[in-house]
Amino acid sequence: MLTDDGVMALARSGRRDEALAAVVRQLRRKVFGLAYSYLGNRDAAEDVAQDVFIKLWRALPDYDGRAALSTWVYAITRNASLSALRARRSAASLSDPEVSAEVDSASAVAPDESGPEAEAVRRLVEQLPLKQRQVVTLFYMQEQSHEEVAAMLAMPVGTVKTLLHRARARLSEAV
Amino acid sequence: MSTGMPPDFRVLDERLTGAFAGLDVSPDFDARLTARVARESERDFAQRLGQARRLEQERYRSARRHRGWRLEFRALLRVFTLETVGAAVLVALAATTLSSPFTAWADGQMPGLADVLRQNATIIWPSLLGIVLGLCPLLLRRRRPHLST
Repeated sequence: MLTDDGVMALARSGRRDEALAAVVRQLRRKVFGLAYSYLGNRDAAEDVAQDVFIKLWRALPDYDGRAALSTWVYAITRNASLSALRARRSAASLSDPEVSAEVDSASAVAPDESGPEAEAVRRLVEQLPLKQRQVVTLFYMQEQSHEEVAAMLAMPVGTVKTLLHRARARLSEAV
Repeated sequence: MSTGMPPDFRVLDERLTGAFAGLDVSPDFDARLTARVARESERDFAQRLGQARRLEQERYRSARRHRGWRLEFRALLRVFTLETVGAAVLVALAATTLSSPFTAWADGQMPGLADVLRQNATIIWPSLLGIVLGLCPLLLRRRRPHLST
């Protein structure tokens, strides 16, 4: 696994593609998960993740190592996800109400190969407020680490624990 | 009813883990990203090339402007040689000396131009000769510019 300094050295020596490949290997799933926690849609989250890595590829030569690379990448991902969320909402608000309702329901939870039960659980999670939804999504995606979730969402660990507890309480009633 | 004990979320945890732990990017994610990076790289290269070309053209134009101005200045400086300055002094001297006889001729106080020229021949002809000799190197340089550089 390449360190932040290693990535910086690669980028500065003109080997930007190699530096990006190393970052993608390390952070691909985290970036995708963070985007998914905002958008709740697999395809949209993948698109955002791709955009994030392209932005990163462009900006890598300017990376000075003052902040951890992951912190920087998470910040880019949060901004990109919020932009995508805004774009989706504004696109839905411009269209016919019936169409936008359809868009919402389609984008809420994309079916995948993990089965109907997983899909049902994800639909329940979709009903939670955004912050709780994000914490739950990331916590169960990222090997149940409060610290990692806190770093990804740029919030204190205590807040993550509180949000998670509230979300679990709500979900346990629903389940 | 609350018992004061923390609720047991084990079942919920299992179900949530089952729902989210397997979520990952699609298998072609890296390939799509690599293709996009390649496209962006080509676009970047084309942009940088365009920028470099524009910069070079601007440098060239600026250098030409600067060089043009310098050449004009140097050409002007080359005119101020000892010979041209000498010729200019002679012209000034002749003009000053001959101004009063020519004014008198213009006012009709002298009979004719030939008389004026004859009376002032000692000034006019040496001055003319001096002027021609002084301007000769300049005229020769103009005809053969490569000798002056």
